[in-house]
Amino acid sequence: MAGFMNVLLAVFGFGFFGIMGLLCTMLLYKMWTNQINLSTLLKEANGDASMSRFQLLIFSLVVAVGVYLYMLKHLALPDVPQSILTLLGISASTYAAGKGISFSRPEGVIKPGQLASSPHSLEPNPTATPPNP
Amino acid sequence: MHLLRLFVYGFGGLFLLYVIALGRQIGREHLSKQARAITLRGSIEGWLLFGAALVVAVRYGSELVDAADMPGIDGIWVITYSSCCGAYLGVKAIRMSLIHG
Repeated sequence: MAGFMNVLLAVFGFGFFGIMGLLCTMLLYKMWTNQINLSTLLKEANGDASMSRFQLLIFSLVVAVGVYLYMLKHLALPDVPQSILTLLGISASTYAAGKGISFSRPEGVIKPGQLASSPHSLEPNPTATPPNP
Repeated sequence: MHLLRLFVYGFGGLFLLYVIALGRQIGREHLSKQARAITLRGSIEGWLLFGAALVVAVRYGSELVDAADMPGIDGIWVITYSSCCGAYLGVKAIRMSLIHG
């Protein structure tokens, strides 16, 4: 019975590994060929570079590498220290608050080129068609 | 156990390739001459957060390299970093309200 369970576990393990590997490879191929475009990941809505997004990306990557290194050594999931969870919380909160500030005003959302022609602009738009009388 | 090790190595390799692919896309967008010129004229609070994030990440990364267990980070670093985040958000909020005014 134990032998059968081991075989079943191995079959499910390889099946899971195969499906996940296939999905990840497809995703990677689409990223590599720019069918999935993440180039604006570090941009604000108005086109400026976003430091709040950048710092969240950096900390996510560093902590992911830490978890991976632990798994490589111990083949088990780690107990993530409280200070690291706090740091990730601060980082994610900064991102969320930064996004909230950006979206609180039209200037944080609309690109500079579009600002002159936006309905929120105070300046008259010379290219706009006059309203019908 | 061998299967688990295979899984960890396989997905570690894929993770690395993802980071490279993401780096290529972001680099093309942000490291062009025009984008660099805009970024270098960025705000002071942005540069402060950039520096603080890099220092804390490098500090923690150096602890990760030769740690047997998953290390934590000293409270002073967390406090310093949260102060930088607070300063960034505060100045950004003030700047945004001034633009509007």
